[in-house]
Amino acid sequence: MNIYEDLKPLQSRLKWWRILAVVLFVGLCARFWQLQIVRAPTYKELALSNHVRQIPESAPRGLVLDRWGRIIVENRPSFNLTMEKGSWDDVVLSELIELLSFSDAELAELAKERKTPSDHSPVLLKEDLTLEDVALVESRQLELPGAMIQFVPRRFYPFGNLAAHALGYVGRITEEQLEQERFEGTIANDYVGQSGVELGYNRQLMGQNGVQVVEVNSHGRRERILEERTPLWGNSVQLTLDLDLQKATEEAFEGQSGAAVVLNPRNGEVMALASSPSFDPNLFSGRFKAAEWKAVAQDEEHRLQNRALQGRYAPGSVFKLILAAAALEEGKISPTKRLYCGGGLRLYGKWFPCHSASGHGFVNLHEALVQSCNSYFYQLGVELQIETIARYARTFGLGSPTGIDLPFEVSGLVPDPEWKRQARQEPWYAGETVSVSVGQGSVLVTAMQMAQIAAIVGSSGDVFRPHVFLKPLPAGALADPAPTGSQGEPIRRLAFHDSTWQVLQDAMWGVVNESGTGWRAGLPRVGVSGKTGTAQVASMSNLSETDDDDRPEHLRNHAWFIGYAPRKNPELALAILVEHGGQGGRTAAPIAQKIFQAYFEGQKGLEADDTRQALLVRN
Amino acid sequence: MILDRRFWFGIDWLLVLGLALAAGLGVAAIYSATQGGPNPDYYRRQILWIVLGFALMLLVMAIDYHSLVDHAELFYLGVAGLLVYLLFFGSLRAGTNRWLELGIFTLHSGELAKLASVALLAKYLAAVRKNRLGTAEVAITGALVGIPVLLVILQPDLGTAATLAFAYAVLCLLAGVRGRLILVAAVVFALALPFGWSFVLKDYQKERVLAFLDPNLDPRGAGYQSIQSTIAVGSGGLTGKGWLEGSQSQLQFLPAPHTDFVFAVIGEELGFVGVVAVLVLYLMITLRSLEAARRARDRLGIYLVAGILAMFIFQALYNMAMVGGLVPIKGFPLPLVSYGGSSMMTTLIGFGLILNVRMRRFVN
Repeated sequence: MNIYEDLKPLQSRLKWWRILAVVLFVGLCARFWQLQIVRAPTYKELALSNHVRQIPESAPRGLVLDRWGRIIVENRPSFNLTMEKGSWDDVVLSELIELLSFSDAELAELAKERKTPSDHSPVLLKEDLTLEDVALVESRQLELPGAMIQFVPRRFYPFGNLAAHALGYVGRITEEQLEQERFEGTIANDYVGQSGVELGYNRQLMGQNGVQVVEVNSHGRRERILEERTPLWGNSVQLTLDLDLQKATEEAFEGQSGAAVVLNPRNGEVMALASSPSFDPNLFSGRFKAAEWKAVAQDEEHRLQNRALQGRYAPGSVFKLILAAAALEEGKISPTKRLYCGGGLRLYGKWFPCHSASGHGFVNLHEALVQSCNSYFYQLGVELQIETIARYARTFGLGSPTGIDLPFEVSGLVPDPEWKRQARQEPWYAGETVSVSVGQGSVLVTAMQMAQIAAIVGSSGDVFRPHVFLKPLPAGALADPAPTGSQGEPIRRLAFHDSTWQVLQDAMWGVVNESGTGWRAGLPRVGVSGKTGTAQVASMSNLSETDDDDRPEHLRNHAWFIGYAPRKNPELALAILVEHGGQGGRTAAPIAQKIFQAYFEGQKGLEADDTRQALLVRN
Repeated sequence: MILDRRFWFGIDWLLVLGLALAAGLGVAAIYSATQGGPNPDYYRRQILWIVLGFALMLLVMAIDYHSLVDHAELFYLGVAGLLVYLLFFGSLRAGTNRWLELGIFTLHSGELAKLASVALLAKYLAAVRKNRLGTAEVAITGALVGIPVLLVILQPDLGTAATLAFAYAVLCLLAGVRGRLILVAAVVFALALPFGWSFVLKDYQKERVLAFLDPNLDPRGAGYQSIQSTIAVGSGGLTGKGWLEGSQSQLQFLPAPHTDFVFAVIGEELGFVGVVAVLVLYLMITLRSLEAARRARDRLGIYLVAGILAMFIFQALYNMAMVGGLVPIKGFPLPLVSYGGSSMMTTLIGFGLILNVRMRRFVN
């Protein structure tokens, strides 16, 4: 071995390596400082979202019960297939699509769903899985990482179409709705009421969503639950609706379109509210299958429209009640005074026909109402002037919503010169007053308002705010049956003379029971009072030329019947509208009869029947 | 074997302590990384490798390094033969045939190649008694290293090849080369890059490089490991989530948490503090080893230490830089800490040589 090796150059080069080593280690230190100190918050969050999942648990909405405590809206368990955005896997998705046989509509819906901007909630792949499909996915959990079966309560309407318009339906909250005050406290993806009671009482019915915070591993398998807040049921709501009466009402329409409102004139409780044709609110409970949505949305019959609250029709002869009241109260006519009807009247150079071409001859007020004589009321209208007519119409609640506790009620229209100036920039023509006198022309009403008029006349002037809400119930509580509502406190009273009410009530009795136009509504044991009406669809001048029945259906007149029973201290008031039903007495009155029959003579097998029998005897 | 008092006196206990601490930290990290997985008892096997490794280290220390490198050529030839044999008859494991099945133990052939090449390289360079290498010497040593490098690339094991190449470069620079040569080497390297991209790199390797350049290119594929590793380390913060408490490590987000990404486990569970501790340990090991080189009594000693240390540092730095997301993913273990018998034992044998050189710095 050479002891004298000169190692100096090598040793000096080693020095550089030492410096390099220190620099590299310090550099690494700096890098980890950057990662672990400077950017630590970002990475901590990333790690958290990596392994912590928040699984929302939808709260079941509260139940809706009818006045007998029967459940009309509930929830049923349903299973949705979802996938976390964080563990999205196209391969797994295509396997799922193959495994569960998606329909084209579902695939389209899925494509849309994937495009929605990212939030942290999982993407819905398929809705309302069958139990077989659930088992299929669960058993392949390991091969399908990221796929998740989510349990959701699904809104369920066990009676399908029944009372659909009153109950409404639910749907996923829209962007606009999220910003509305009405939906305060809701979050995206919540299901909220979209119409009817579901919307009107959304706040009571909504529960409180729960959440499950779980830890998952890299394959998306849940390791443990870190935190859990169980969902809270929404409160239940008991309605004033009577399911049996509702059913009878809807069946009475027998496929005709129209609307019916059945009220308790003593307190404004809505016993039945129907709009025909109807729809199945169950269709909306999920995230709506594309095809079914189209079927409903493109429906030319406007099934979703609640004709009872949103349909605006001319009141026809029903309006004569208001003219009669106005004339009596204003002292413009004596009940005994007779006016001549010769099948019509020439006024302001124009012929205004009565529906009886041969004329009613000399008739007094009672007869004019019972026979629904137009000529009589043309003269009365001219006498009263439009301003007075409008004032009384408004007193009876026309021209403004009744204030029923259901959304989207419309006002209708009570025309007067002031309105015409503003709306059409035209003066009021005297001939229009003549038309309005028999409920034609520009005057528009809803079935809801008409039912209220029946109730007002029946109760001699008591005005109640109609409502479907009976009482709130805590979640899960049983409801007591509330067979009949007690006498309520009216929100206002029409302070007419007793004699005025007497004339109107006698006339309405006569319409049904003295071979008047509404005889088809008659029920001798019950004692029905009423008034028919025919709302013209085609213009008045064409009316006399062809018989209504010969016209094509869409040009036929709308048929009205309003009424109440029993005669004294009535328990039930209603309004029936049959679209293109022709004469009110012909098509609307029989429907009213069936409803009265169902209510007063129906077999319910419920204890309340005794109470009702007692009432019948007393009257 | 000389077992006199000077033997014990010459041992660099600080270096031994550093090695032991690093290995011990590794056992703790491996324990944590494997608890949720299919092999919760790996830490025990690692302890066994450490014990065996230290025994081998002791054995290597006992024999004068001059005698050890005496037969470097034979060792080199043997290893080269083994590499060729494995190329044709080796068993495929994880897509490569770099493993030699030895009954219960499978030896990583690349590890042997590294030891053999460095030993022969040191021996040859020591024989060149000049302060600067001529072109011929550079070429000859290049060929010496080139053969195992080529064979290892064919396995394919780019990591070992790169390690060897790095050690060769370090030794050449240490031995002294003309500036012109460095320039030529740099140009050749630059020209070889596109060639290597097209012909040497396999698709998965290219993906890794691309994924490194932009991990979010394919976050659930090639970029996944890089992303998850950075998340693990970054979320550790200053003091970490605590031993056995790392969500990335424990919930299988981290790839290969007990081998290539064991440093990420340390980063996540022990935080920046743990990372700095490991870095300080490695720096200490490096500086003590360089000290051994500086005090070596002859060229052979210096080259041996430098070659072995170069390979150690290259692997360690690359692994840590990879965990830190600074370089593309490459299947490097973190020497002394990662799970694995071959790496542990050859690393400790290597440090046995380094200690050996230091012990024998005095002329006897």
